[in-house]
Amino acid sequence: MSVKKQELPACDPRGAYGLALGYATSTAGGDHLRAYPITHEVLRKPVATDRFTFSGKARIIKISEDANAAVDSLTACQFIFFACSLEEYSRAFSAVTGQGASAQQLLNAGERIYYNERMMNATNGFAAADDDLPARFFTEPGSSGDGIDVHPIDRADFLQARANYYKVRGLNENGMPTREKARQLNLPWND
Amino acid sequence: MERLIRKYADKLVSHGLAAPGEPLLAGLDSEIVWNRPDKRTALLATLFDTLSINSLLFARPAQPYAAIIDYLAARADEAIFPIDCESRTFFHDLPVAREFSAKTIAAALRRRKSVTIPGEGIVTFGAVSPEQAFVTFSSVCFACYVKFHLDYLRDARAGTLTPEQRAVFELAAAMPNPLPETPPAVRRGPFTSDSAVLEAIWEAGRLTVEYHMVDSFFGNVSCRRGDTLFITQTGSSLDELPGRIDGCPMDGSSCAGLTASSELKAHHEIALRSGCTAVLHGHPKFSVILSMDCPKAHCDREGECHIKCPEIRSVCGVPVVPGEVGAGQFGLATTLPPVFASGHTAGIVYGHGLFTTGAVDFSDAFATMLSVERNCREEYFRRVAQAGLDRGEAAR
Ligand SMILES: [Zn+2]
Repeated sequence: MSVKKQELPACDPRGAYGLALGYATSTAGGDHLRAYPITHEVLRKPVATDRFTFSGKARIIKISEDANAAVDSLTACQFIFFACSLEEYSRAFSAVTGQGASAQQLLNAGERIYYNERMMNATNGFAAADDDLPARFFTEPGSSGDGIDVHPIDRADFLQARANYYKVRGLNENGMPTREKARQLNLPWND
Repeated sequence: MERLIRKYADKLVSHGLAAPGEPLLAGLDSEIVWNRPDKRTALLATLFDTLSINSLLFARPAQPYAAIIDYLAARADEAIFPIDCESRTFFHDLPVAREFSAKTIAAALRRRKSVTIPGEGIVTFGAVSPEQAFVTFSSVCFACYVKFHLDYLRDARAGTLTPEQRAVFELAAAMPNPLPETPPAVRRGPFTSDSAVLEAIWEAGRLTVEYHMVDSFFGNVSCRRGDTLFITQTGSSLDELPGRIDGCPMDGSSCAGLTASSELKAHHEIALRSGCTAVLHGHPKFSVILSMDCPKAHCDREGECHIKCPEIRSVCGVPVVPGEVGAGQFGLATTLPPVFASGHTAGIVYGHGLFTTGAVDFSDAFATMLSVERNCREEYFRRVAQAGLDRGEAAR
């Protein structure tokens, strides 16, 4: 049970659809911390989102991947961000480096990092087929309880959410980086 | 996404924060959806290109918020600086822009969660849900209301009130008072089943919102039954509580509290040390305003009142304690419970809100909350009038 041959963490993606999309799109393979949608889908931070829908999740996952790429680069613990945000950390960054940065500038840096990782993966042969979940999640239900039924993930909904994600991330329909987006992010492009 | 956009547009109206048909909300996944057509959608849509957001809200607030916010924004440099807890914890300051342009709005939202354009309205956003945009909008209204009235009292005493300030004050004071003389009937305890406890919490939460004792997703409610403390989840709106209650064992033997209100520890300590069953917490405006009205002219703790005020203060007989959100030395989970251990059934946290308790159910807790806020409202206007008399002016 892996994504990009990386074993999945303990959380079942059938119980949180942002997590399902985040596992699939993670550049490092099945990793709950790249987009960390559990924060809003389960832990209700900064606000709760509906965990059983893909609606709105493509852009949420993209923004969270950018944010966490920035957080990781700040060498900050992700769990601190249950309480604070890049709004506060941009001030800490400015204080330490002497370079003024807004929360949005840190997010822009995170986007460059993440897109660069997509480019590295593409160079190594990764494409849409690798941004996928093990087939079982689309055919077998998960463990239900407390009045909540955990159904298999609808394959068509998943593929639509992934297509939305590619669009939001500036990738082509096969999940490949484009020269145009790379240029927009000031990333070097090798043919 | 469309459902959420509509939900929060409706909620702004039903909470009295914006006029019907006024809120403009957008959500973006791969395509932008708006709740209604408007000539400003084209300009606002460009914000999605430059900001990492998934939802956007623009609206002119309803009265008296519009008058208050325009007044404060017109006199602010680059931002309004409220000192209530919602602002301190989540917003720091409230940026003001002078023109309705994509450039100025984006510049403010790159660093803060809201921007106010005097005469136009407030722009807020969400990164994961339109709910964040709603919460921020609501908090800007709350924070400005509190700040305006606190400043007004100070200026009334100093004799520096301006005609514009008086006009806004009169407009706000003329709004209908939502506080009834007699509290509504609520479910009576003792509760003999968990489901009875849940229903009592739902009702208390709904009434707290209905009587304007709290805005957006702030405030929290708990009820103890045996060794379990049932408490509202973190970030839950008190008017939408079914499915949003965590049953937390009092001995801490499970991690059910993981998604509970960040004030779980305070509720737990209050229940434990006072022996009460029900704890209600809201942010009623005049309790919050008066908690920050301190007569002391010079104080070496100035600017730190919300965490380090050393005085034993009270407002309308209700103790006021310092305390920031959560636990720790300066957290309200440490500073507040002693109030209830000493026999009080109400306590105000400086600049934050009011906690009340009920022995067996929410009837006392809710009645106390209403009467404290009603007393604080009366006391506020009495202090304003007194300030006028002290300066030899005619009372209002
Ligand atoms: Zn509170």
